[in-house]
Amino acid sequence: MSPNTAAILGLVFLFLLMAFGIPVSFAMILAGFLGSAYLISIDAAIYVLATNVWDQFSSYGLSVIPLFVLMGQIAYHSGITERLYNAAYTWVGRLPGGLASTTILASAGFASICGSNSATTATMGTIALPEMKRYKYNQALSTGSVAIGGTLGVVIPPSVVLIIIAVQTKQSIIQLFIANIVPGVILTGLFLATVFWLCIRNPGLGPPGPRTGMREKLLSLSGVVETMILFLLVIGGLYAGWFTPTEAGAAGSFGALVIGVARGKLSFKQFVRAIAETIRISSMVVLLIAGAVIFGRFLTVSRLPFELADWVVSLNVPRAAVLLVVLMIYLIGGCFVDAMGFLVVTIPIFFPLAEALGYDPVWYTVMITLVTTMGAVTPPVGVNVYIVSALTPDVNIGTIFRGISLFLVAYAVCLVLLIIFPELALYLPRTML
Amino acid sequence: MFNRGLAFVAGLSLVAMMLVTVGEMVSRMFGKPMAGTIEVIAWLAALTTAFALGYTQMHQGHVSIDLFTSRLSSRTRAMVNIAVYSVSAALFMIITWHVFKHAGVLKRTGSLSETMRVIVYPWVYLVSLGCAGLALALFLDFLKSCRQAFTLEGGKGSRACSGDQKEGR
Repeated sequence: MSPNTAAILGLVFLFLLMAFGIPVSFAMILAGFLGSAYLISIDAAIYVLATNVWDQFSSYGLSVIPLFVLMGQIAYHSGITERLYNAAYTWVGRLPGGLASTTILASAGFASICGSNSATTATMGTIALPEMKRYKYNQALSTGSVAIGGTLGVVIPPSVVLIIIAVQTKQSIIQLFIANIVPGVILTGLFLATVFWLCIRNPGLGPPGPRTGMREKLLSLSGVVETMILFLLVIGGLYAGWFTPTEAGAAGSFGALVIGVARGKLSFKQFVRAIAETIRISSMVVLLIAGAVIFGRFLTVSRLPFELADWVVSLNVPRAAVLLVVLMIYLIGGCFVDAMGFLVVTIPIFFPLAEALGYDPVWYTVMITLVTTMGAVTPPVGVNVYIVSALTPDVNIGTIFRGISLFLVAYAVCLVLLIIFPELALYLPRTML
Repeated sequence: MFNRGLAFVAGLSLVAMMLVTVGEMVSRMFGKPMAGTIEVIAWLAALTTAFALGYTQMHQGHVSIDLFTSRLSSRTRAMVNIAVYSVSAALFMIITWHVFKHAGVLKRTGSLSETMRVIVYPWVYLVSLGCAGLALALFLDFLKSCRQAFTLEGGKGSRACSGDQKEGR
């Protein structure tokens, strides 16, 4: 059996394992281990296994993960969202669809200090959904805006998904964070435009909220200040080169902790809950990366990704067509498989391809992040949809998906903009050097 | 109990990681960088994530795809789970053992860390302990699905595999 055949069989085996419900990380470790044992030797495979498990768990580069997750978790448990929501509410609440816009803006704000889409959705949903119900918002619009707003958690830095891609592809976490700022802002703007447009055309969808005075508006900004400070400290500090990503994560968690305690909103019990949640997520993510590295080693030895890349290049089809196919694969894969799991499995296969085609790795990362993030809101497996559905048991899941579909155009427009103007993603990271 | 204990240490280690990192930044601001912080943080990160492996499994926190298995009848699903958990438990027993052996190799060769020049192997033993926690959690899940499969069959065989699942967790 040629190494390429072995690699293809390895991939089939991996997907079979995952289909049976074996956790993605375990499946990658097992398939990678058996594959390396076949292609090299059992001793080499054992060595790869033992050293990689130790290396990944004790990697300084990965220590950034628990710290950024902790920052988001502390923010999640310390009522920051509520204040963001109130601030956004006083500013845009009285526009058509104002509460939906409030939800989107507050989600974007929370996303700037939290790197997870499920945390963003859950925290925003608990506050925004009852409000929108009170003002008799259309259910599709209200649930859709919460679920889609949650996806900003991944797109706007800090983002755990970006950290994983950076680690897997040996890119700079800082560059990827900075590159995602403008696309995140554009996406937020497009979501807001969508809400506004829908509610102008059909005012019944989202009636405006009560009018607020200037004094109230200005006072509400104090709720944004703490988030701004955290964001500027973390992302600004990274951009300015003050600290490493790990240090930024630690400073951010510490800052969130100080804010939570100072505001009297973070009890010891909530702090412990944040810690427990953080160690669970981090452990899952680091094992996922260890699995990806072990499986990636097997694929590298088989040379399949490189030969695939060479083959595609030799086909002489326009590279945009290849990119489209790859993005479609991510889109479809993201619909069925957990976005993070799908990314770690496919990166070793498609990343060499994107490089061979001459795409900028940073830009390509922004693109696949956007596309896989959509997976969190597309049927049948849309994490955010299930979170929203758990928060509003009376709303049909189909209604939530319908609400989301209103916003998918915004995603498409953002992707097209990035294809036409790659500089939208690439300009800011370049100014760092 | 075992995995909860490990998770407790993992939590402490996470807090320590944050404090050490922030502490180093502060002391650096005062012109006194602490050498070797990077190594300490990396080891604490290892403790944080490895010691939480089993605890994560207890909460079914390792990402998996249930798109296909969720459509099976509960009995078939229990049977599939028996296979899934036995394979996974075996895998992590192997990993535990080889990481343990790797620690032994580092101990014998007297391998030292790069900056602080201190022994590394105790941390490797600890990571192996974390993997053992995961293997244990998976084994208990295996017993649980055995019990489910047999109970669902008619209840007669339920004793064969039931074990005492709470113990050891």
